[in-house]
Amino acid sequence: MSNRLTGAILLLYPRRVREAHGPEIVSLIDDLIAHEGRSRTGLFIRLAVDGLVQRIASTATVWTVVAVLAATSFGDLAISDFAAASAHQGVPRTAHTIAPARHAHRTPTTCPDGIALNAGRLGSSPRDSPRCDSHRDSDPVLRGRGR
Amino acid sequence: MRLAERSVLVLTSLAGGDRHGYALIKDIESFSGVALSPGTLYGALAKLEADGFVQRLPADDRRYPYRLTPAGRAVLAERLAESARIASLGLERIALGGP
Repeated sequence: MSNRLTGAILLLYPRRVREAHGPEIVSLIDDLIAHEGRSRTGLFIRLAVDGLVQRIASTATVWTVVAVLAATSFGDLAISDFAAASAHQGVPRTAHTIAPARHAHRTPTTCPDGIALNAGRLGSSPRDSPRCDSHRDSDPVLRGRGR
Repeated sequence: MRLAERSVLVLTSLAGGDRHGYALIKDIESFSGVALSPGTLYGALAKLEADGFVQRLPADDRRYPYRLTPAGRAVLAERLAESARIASLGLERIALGGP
């Protein structure tokens, strides 16, 4: 009778505890039954409550982790949605919303002084590639002085 | 490292020698008046074993005795010294007759 009760009480404990300390808990319960001269019913109730408390605590920990992960994921999604919506509404882009340049090696499309690049001529010669005209080249007055 | 109260009780009991579950519960009850439940005891033992503060010895008739490791002895000494310092300070203040 007590063996079946002990087994039933053990089942109330979380699996992790049963796997790690199952035989020890059974032997401890046997010791408590053997040495506790008082009411066995009270002892069984206390042990059953202990097992349930351990199980609830174990489950609560798992659910807490799940809840935190869910809340974090939801928060990330909300931030992403907000950023996307802001981008569509023409909100000025700040440093943290601008994606890093993936093609930084591209040939610049403007010269350092802000003058647009000459398109160059079609061809394979390096002289045909886009280039910056200097002020001397683009300004007829300066160009005339240089000559 | 901050030890939980139940861990301090278990380590203090093991400082007196190797003990298995039932002996631990009875010893702790005798010196502190706290009756640990099996779930609480083995939860504390699992944590202490994972931290390297206690060591589970080979089974002796289905009962696994536990032993305090040197690391466990050191952390217990540190925690008890801190408790003693706080207790001493508290007693001094009580003796001075504060509000």
